Amino acid sequence: MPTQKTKKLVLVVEDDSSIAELIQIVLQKHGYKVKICGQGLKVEEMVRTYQPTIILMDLWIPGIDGVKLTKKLKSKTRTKTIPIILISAQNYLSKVVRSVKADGFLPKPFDLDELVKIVNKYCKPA
Amino acid sequence: MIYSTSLQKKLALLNQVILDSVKFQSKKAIFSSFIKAGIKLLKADYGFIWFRTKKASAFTQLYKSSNTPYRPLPPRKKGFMEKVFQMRAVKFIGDSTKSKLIRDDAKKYMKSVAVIPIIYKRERYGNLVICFQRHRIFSAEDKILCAFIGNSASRSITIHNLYFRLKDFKDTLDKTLDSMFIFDPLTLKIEYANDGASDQLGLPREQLYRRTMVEIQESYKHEEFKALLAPLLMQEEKFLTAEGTIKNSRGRHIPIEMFLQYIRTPGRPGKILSIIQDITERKRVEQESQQLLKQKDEFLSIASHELKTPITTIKGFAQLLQANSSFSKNNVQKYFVEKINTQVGILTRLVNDLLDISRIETGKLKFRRRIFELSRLVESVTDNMQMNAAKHRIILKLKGQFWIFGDADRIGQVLINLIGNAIKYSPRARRVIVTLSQYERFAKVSVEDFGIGVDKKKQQKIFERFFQGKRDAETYPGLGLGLYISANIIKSHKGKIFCQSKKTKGTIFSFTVPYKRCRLKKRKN
Repeated sequence: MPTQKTKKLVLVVEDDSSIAELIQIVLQKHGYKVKICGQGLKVEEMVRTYQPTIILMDLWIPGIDGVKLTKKLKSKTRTKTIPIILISAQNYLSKVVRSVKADGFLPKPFDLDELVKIVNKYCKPA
Repeated sequence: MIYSTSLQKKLALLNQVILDSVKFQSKKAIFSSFIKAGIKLLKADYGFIWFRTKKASAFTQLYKSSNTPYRPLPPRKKGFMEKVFQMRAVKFIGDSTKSKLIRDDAKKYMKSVAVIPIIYKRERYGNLVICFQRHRIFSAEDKILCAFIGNSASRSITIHNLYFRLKDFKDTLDKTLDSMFIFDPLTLKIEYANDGASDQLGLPREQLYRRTMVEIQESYKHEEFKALLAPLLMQEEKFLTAEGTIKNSRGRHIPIEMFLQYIRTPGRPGKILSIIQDITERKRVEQESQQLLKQKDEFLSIASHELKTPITTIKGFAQLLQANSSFSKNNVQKYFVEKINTQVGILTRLVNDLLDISRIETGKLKFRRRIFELSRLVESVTDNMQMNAAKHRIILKLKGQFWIFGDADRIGQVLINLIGNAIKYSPRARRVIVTLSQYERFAKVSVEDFGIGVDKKKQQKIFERFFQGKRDAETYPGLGLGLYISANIIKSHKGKIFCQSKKTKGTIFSFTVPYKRCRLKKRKN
């Protein structure tokens, strides 16, 4: 088992607590540390404090414009290297994904294997 | 012919009578003016008129001078009056006492008489009778004058009839509620506008006549309006309709539809007839239904998004449970979790179908096209379907490889739909045959089942929206959207989808997609 320090951190931006919990359980099983940023929390602040290895972002959260936020994160030098995977119930988002320079896309409802695969691709757990 | 000055004066007076008579409202007034003129010119005493049209068989007295001393009896059939009427020539009787043509009772009141047929070319309207109480000798000049009186009266009546026929026609047109315009195709100047037009624009007709079509509507400038008319003037189109807006005198903008027709009469400059209709109501209904459609799409989209979140959770936790239970020996638990998984799969598909429908309706169904190999896709879809099929064995017959440019996921979706249907509608059968073969320049995928079959009549309708097989006898779950979506997907891939079926024997659903002759270079790497 990897030690606490070497574990990679995944920031999950998701307002639906059950989905956030599901992602947390699955990714923790695969050796990731998971932080959840739900409704009302400041994503940018959390990115600054935790310096996550990867961000999973739901595009459709009340109060947070996922598209704008992704664009913002991708434009700042400190955060632009962090891979961002968009999660959405919309099936066809390739244009949006490209336009905001997101790294990947996971359509809802996703398979757990897909989730793990895509996270693994962008940061192999230590 | 040279007329004497007195005759010329008389003819000039008659001309004035003709001109004046056009204004009269009734035939009687016209005739009376001619009788009066005749009496005056011939220095006669009184006169009356026997009116008769070509079709009528008897004469009627339309007018007599107020000083007529007796009551003239209606003319006899085939009598003197009739003869003059048929002969179409003026008849003078200088001395009535010696004449057999005049009835004895009348002889008392007239010594001489002139009977003038009212004729002009083919028009005949009866006879004018001008009477003298003393003997009169008729000169050649009198003959000319009388013939002229007859002609003139007939012409006046003809003009009068024509005038009223036109007036009736124009009055009807004037009072039509639709706005009508007649305008010149070159200058666009309005030459006629009816009351409907004047009402709609809130302008009196006299003012409309001073404007052009460009000034009464807001959508087309002069050159644009002419461009609009071009197909009519070139006779490429018989009529045109165009939409636009007009601004009425109260400043309100009214959406309108303009009907335009080019009307040509030989030897006359062509005109454009335009009928303008207020389409406010139609526009409102259109807008409303569009709004409703948009709301429906938004609702479908939101609803399916909202549904997807809980589905994701259920699916995920079921998967976790499945992973856990695969280590345990509790077979019942394993079975239950499997059930949950299959059903979540179905639920996901239904929600996706709903989303697809709203995309098809709004033309937003998108495809991620790339080159892929069809037999591999058919194989993997079949494998997946086999895993979920409890009873049926899916027999796969692959006859070749086909490189397709298209959306593999979407084509896979069609195949999943067809195989799913085959299983669903053949509950008592044990196999489904999936064949991939070549058909002309297309790759053809067929799915054959041995189930309930489809009615001949329904085979046409089966690709329509919300269609579902056999609602009455046995019910099968589903929204009836699958084939509609499939048909749309295949259509977008320039392919065809069709169904052959025999009732109770089974059904073959097939679709075709064009394939590429050779693999692209990119693939070799």
